[in-house]
Amino acid sequence: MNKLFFILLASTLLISCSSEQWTSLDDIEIEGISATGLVVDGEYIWLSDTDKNRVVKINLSGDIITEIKGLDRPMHLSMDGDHLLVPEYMMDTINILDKKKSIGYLEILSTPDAPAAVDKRGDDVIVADFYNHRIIYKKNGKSFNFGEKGKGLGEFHYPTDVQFAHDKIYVADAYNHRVQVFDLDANPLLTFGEEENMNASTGIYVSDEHVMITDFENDRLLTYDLSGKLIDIIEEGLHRPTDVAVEDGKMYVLNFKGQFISVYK
Amino acid sequence: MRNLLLIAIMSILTSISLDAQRDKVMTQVDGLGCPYCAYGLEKKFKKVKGIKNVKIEIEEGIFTFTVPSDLELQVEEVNNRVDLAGYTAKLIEIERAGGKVDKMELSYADVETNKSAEFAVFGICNMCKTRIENAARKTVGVGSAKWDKKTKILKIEYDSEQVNVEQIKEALAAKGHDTEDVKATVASYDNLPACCMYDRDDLKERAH
Repeated sequence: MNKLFFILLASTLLISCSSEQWTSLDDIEIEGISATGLVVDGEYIWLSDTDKNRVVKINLSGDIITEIKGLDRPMHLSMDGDHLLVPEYMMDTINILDKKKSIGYLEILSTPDAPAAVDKRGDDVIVADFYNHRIIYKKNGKSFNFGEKGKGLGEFHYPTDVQFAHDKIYVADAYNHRVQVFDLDANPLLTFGEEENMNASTGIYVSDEHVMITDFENDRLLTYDLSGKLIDIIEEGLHRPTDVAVEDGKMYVLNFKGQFISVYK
Repeated sequence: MRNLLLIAIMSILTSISLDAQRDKVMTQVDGLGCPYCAYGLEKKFKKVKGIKNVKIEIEEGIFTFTVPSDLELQVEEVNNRVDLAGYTAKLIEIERAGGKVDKMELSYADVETNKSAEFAVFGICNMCKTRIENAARKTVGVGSAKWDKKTKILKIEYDSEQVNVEQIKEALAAKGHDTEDVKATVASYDNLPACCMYDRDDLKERAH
């Protein structure tokens, strides 16, 4: 009897310690919003409504709190302190919003062709330059580009999302169906995701311990550790996911189709 | 002063008149699924001289724009351009400035078939599926075509007196899709939208 109790206790402890899987919490309906990018801002979520050329702030019930119009096909968003950075796919610009209105454009020197995403850390900026298959990198006040069209290490096939994290640059290398990691000098370090047969790795979020990536055509969300080891796959309940973010232990997955955000813990 | 006012009014009337002389083009496109590619298509069209009011509604698969009426744009030409961009138009309507509407709907000829075949065709997404099936069905003598996204297998029924499998494979290659023995040219492969660019290095692996 004692032995059985010990086995049960050990199993329970093992499961609770090793559980790194996401559990579904809820869906947030976002009726009338066909969004490509999201960022979490405290109790609110900012969405780039690419279809309606606007950025909206919603509460966790899906109600629109703020609407900023006049953007031209906004894509993956990024927060920079009190500002929102909005890549405009049509205009080839990075619009800066003070959360109420546009206050100007980010200077990046190189001109992208359809910027899909942006991230800023201090004064350094990275932009996913979709049609040029490269990343525009503004570092220490100087702008240069890295990557070119291809499938090799350091090459891209239509990058769609970028993020600075852990003194590295993470890229959703969408149509190479993988994640690429670079050091801050733009040297390629690592690729992962190829084994999972993703079909367009479109949106990326890097947390303290994990890398989350949306698998657009396969309606999946994949979670890796920072070394690229697969931890978890969510295969149900998503519909053409394009972006993901994590805040306070909750993960928000933006579905381009169906107009809803899936929430996990 | 009166002359200046007259010139200003004339100028406004002329601009209204010129603006009215535009044809409205509406195409319903099958497979506008990926926002990155769809808005890329919109961007490309916006750069074409004379084209204005370009808009894509992904949910409905509707793509609209206007052109100067004196271009006399024909539905066949729109269809060719949409096709060249890698998409498949289900419906095209051009509403002329005078009110007349020209229309073209995607349709296939009825074919009495006497043979069937199946083979691997390389593609990756639902847009590929539409393009592959349409390319096969548009080939004279093909009565049905069904492509499976997972297995990559295309099943066809055809009239062997009008067409053979080799010709169907050639038609698919012309649209950018490889088969085991007939490859698309680099140009036609590169013309595929980003989301349709299947991996060309592991064709055999995917086929088996």
